[in-house]
Amino acid sequence: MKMKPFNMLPGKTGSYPALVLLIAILVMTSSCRKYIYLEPKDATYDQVFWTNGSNVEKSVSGAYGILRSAFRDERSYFVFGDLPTDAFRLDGGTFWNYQDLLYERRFTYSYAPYLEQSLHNWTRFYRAVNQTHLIIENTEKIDVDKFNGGQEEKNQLLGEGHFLRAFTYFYLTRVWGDPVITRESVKDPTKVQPIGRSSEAEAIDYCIEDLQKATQLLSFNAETGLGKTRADKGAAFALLAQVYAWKKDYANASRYCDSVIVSNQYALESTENYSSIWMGNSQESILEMFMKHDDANTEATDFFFGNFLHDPLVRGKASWTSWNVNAELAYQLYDTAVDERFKSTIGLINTGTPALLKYSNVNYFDPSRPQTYVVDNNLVLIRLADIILLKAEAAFHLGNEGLALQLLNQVKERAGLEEVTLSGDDLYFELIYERYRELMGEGVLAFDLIRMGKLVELFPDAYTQERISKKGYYWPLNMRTLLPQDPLLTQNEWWKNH
Amino acid sequence: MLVRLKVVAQLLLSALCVLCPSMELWAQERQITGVVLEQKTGQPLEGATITLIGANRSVLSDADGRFRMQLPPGKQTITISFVDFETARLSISEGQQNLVLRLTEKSNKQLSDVVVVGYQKQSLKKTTSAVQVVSGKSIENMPAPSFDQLLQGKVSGINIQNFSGEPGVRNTFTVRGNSTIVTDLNSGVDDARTLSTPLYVIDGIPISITDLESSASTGTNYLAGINVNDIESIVVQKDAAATAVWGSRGANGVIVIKTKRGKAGKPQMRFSYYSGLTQKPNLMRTVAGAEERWQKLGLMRDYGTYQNLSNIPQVLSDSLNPAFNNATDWQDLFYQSGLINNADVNISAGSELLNYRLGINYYDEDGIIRQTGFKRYSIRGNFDFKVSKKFNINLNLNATRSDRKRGLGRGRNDIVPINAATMPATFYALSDADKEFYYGGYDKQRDKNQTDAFSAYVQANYDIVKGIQYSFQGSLSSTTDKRNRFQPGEITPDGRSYAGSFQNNYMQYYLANILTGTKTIGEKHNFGMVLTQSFQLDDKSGSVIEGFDVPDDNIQVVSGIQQRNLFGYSYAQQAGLLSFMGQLSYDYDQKYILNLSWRGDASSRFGNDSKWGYFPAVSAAYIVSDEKFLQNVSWIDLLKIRGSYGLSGSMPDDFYAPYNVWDVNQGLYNGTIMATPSFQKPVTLPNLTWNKSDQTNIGFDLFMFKNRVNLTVDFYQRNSMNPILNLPFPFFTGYTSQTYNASLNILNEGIDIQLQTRNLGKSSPVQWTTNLNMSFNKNRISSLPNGNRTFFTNSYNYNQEMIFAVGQPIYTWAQMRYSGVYNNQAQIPVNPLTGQPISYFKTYYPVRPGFPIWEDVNNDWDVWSDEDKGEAKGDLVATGNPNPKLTGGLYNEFTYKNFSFGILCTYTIGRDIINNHLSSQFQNVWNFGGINNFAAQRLPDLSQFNYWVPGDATKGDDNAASFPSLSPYGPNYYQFLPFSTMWNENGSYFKIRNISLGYNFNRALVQKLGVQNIRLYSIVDNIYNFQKANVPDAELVSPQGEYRGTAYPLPRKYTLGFEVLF
Repeated sequence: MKMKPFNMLPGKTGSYPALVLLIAILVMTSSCRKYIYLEPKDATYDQVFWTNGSNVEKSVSGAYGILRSAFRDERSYFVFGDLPTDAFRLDGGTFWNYQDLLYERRFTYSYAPYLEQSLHNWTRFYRAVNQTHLIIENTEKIDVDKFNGGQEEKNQLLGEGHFLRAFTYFYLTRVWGDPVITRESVKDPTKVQPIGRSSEAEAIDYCIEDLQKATQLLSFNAETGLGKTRADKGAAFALLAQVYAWKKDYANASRYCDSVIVSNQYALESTENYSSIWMGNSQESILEMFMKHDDANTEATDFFFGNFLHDPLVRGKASWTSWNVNAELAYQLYDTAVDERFKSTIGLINTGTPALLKYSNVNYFDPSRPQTYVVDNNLVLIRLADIILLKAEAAFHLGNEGLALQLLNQVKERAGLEEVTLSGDDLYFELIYERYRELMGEGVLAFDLIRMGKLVELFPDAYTQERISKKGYYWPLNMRTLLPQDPLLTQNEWWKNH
Repeated sequence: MLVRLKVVAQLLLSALCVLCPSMELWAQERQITGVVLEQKTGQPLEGATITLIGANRSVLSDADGRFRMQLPPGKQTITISFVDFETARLSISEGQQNLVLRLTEKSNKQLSDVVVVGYQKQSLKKTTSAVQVVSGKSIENMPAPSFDQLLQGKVSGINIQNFSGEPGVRNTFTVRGNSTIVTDLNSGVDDARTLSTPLYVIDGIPISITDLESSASTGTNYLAGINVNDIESIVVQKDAAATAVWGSRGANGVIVIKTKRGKAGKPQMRFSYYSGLTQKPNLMRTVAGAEERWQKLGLMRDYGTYQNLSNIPQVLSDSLNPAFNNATDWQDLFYQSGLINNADVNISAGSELLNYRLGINYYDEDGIIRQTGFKRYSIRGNFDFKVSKKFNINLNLNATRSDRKRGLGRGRNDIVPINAATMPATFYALSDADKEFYYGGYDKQRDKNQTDAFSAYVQANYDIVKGIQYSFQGSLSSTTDKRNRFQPGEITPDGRSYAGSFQNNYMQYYLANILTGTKTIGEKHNFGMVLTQSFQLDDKSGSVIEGFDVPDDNIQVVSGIQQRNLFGYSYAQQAGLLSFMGQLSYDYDQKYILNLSWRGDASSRFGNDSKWGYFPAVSAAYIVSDEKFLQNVSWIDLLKIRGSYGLSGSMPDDFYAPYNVWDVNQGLYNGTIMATPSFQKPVTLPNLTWNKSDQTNIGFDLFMFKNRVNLTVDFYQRNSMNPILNLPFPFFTGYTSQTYNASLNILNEGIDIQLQTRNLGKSSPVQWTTNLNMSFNKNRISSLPNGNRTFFTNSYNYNQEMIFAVGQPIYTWAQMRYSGVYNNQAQIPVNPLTGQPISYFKTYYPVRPGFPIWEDVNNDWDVWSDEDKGEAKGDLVATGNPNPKLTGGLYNEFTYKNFSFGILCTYTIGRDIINNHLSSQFQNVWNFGGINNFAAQRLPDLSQFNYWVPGDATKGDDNAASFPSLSPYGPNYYQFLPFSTMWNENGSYFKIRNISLGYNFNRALVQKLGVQNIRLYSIVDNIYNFQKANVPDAELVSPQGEYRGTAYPLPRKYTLGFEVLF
């Protein structure tokens, strides 16, 4: 290229333009250099987040929040925890894609159109796992001065981290069986190697390890004033009892049930106040998921609990848009005239489409939208009645039928029922039915049934010995989505062919 | 362009000499006079430079082509030069006084065009890279809001597809194939962003459209802010030699736009105006009224049992009821014809002190869908100040306001207020309220959607010594997007009134220091060098406020809203880019040419230790035709062989890409803020760094037969390595996707062919030029992470799956193979082991006559899109490829005397598309919500389908049905979903894009009116499609090849305009 400068006139050339140029370049380079090291101004990020207790608290809050949305996702908390107990009836039109999950269609969990992302995919629970990894790894590193509550708060938050990790893994394991176990957060995303599934036993041991730590780190919430929506020592004991029971280590299960019971932190609600348990913060409840309404926040929703309600409990909501209590079963289970649990938690049975009333504190909070509501209840995750029945179950397995019967009657008595005297299988099945009566619609019964091992007897159309031996009570995984991410992942044995 | 500038500068300087008597003595001189005329037409040429050789003296010709010049005694030589004309040289003997000089137009002015590669000016003859120049002239006065659409069919190597005809929105524009993968197409990503986008350099300012759009709330195409008639030239730079100099941003091609500047001479005013009509194109055929009734009743009769037929929906049976006996075409309801108006005024002039051009533009296009349209007001002033003979300054100022109405629908993919797939049956009458709403007559609704852009650019050039120039460039551009909405409760779905205010500011600061040097050693060794240092800062900030339940419909802003119904946030982000660059060129006798460039970029968008990226390029050309052995081959005018290799890159859209940010916007848990890692923003790496594309280009230019046949061919291979992409990530980490340099390679290979011919001899009164361009591209993924593991993603709206596999193009569909219908039981395969017929849907539906034939790829005697075991991809196979194999255009222009006639055709060949719209209409056949639903919703025109009816099972093969059963009584196993190849079509098309006709009034005649020139023109745009596909327009499909029925159709436009030059 030939650039012809303006050389028609003779011009003087001095050195000053070169100097100007030099200065310009120097000034620009140094002043611009800082602009290539920019950090986000409108977001917080890994490098600066883990600096104080208040952020750790937000991340713990985030962990609860992740679990809360995971449970709410397609109401999967109740899908996993209650549909496999045959306690609910779902309209074939509205809930056409849930029909195969019901007993009528033999609990065929593999067919759940449009629900695969929640029912066959456990990714959202791994978010919680990752969150707890982060909490556990980073809280230790933060100086105790950075916690407003000092060592106590630091222990509390760390303890909750351990508790929630165990809680998540235990839940994962009870839904899908053998989980993929990670023991730390992702450090270098480019070096993530595929991981195969670990055994259920390994997962259970991992939970126990975490819960042991949690029991040491946590105090009772009565002492810290944190309320039931945060895990405390009692919750850690209760979960340990459940984990040991799952492991069929009844001695330890019983021991930890005792730790809960003798702590004197909890007491059964009175018969009259039975329905207030789900209003939150009752003396019976050990751990709750916060879902209550407050005008300033949006933590309460309609679709989750509202799923059990219909007109007149919720204005204009047709019964076929709700999960209705299996009336036939309810009549079989309850002494309808006496049992307080029937009287206060099952309503509208005379309409033929009975509703579960545990979560029926409907709030039309906005006068300008008469159809818009939220359900102002908490989701009770663990409560004393459950632990008492668990202790009874452990006692039964340990050969102490007398104790088992005594504990069973304690629960019955609160419900306003007469004492019973049973033994052997009759007692064992009564423990199962008592769980049905007590815990229906609380998202836990299905796991109890798996643990108690009577699925073939309870649901002969759905369960065979083969299905039990291949653990066909667990849910299948969505291999199309998950396998490409982890080539070592395997499908649950039973669902390979069903 | 730059040659022109240089000429202008020379002129002015020489004029300066003429005016300065002190500089020279004028004694004993004689005066000559003359006139400069155009050889062919004899028209006078204004502004030609007459230079006296040996003295720094030159003059310009005036409006009548006349000039005067003082000559020293004795025989003298003068040169006469004028832009686009061959420079003439003339000896003047002592006696000559009156001269008539005739200039001939340059036979190949194209080669003398100057292109700017990076910061270096190269003549097209000497450029070593694959570039193509489009002159502003060729897109002038075309009825489109932005120039990008107008390049369609004009340049080889680029692929422009209009997936939307909505005025003022951006469509896809890829250079040499796509290198972007968007894996989450349901995340609300704009279709235009699912393919890669080039870097635009507008008057020296590099602009990333994707960055600008990342914050825009108006959804308006930034490029639509540029007045098409202000554009002097567009240079499309394709290979690495041209793109590597843009380093981190050049990987997907660079488009360099120069706007017009003032030319030397007295003030000229140009006024142009066109006006026209926009018209809706043909829509999908539907049946209405009685015909619809008969088709629906026909289906019921075909399949219904006696009992079924006892329930005929009232809509169908009660044909005398005025509520149901209508033939409302819901599809037609939202369309309208509109007007298009464009007015341009510009004034330009140049003197020895100042050149300027002022342009004012107004553009207004009505949408063909109600409540849509685009308006632009723009002012541009380009000034060149000549401070001294060694120092000059260019200043460009531009201000634009764009106003875009966005329709009554919910978004770009949902442009009308009724879902296109589930429109109501035609029987229903429209209520007045409906009409008022659909016709957009709702004056209580407010939607102000406005973009204001302002830019100022200054460049100062100083000649330090002969051959060395220093330039400073500085610019500031600011774009402000505003959208203010209000909807009264009556028209919102939940009855709550809504108000929202969105505002975004995007500021870009840019500075550069440039040192240019040229040197010729000996006669033939030419060196050129450019050293550049530049810095750019992008700064975006904005806010969103929204609220529901505005207290009163007269309050149309966010005011008086209760706390719980109020939502808002603001943001502020910055990104810096510091660059150093060197370009070196060498040529020997303009025959052997070598160019080297090297660039280093440091961006704040990368990790602290991985900021710097280096992008070298090398290119060479050999002008074979200048060799002696070809000098005698008279039919070859130019043969140039070119080759280039280099690296270029692309930056992440995210300003803070290396940071794993935390999401604190998820609300509270029992009153405490929830903080989690952001799952919207995938997991990233602190040492995120540049991805590089290496590109090899080999090409040649062959100009033959006195430049009557000009052929340019380029072969390229572009390998995009480790792009920063969002890909699926192992679930057990808690994240579902990653953003970092994925170990993935995308290969784009192809051939660009450009053929320009002048079909008639020079002497012919009719001139006919043809421009054919062809772009072949083959796109494929050459490696994937996790040991090349194939992965699937969902298409938009989860219609079908996409497969990403090594060897497959990006966005290949994975579907089951469909091949007609099982007419009778005998055709249905039976599993010899079980004796059972083949089944569909995980054994749920044993196949019966009337079922579609789906191929059992995995031989498990069941066909479905997934299975519960193993890889679980069921019977899906890679089927369609939405990336076209060949795109291009054919342009023919005829001129005869004062008439000109042009016809532009564009084509796309070898592309698969899916008729998702028809698919979703067929969903309505099955009475999902009961037979009344079936009656109430619109069906496709069934008369075009030879569908199976129970009677066919016993018929012979000759009368066999070709389409599956359409029973409204089931069974339904989603057989009409596009997860089988049932709706795949051949997406090739050949489109007569536009025809333009122009007439120049006789110059002598109009000059009597006091004007210099008047031109009349008329353009018809979007005329006719030749296509096989059964969709209204095969171009109007998404970048993933889907005709969704929700896209904004491409309007047909008729315009008539005139241009007056004063």
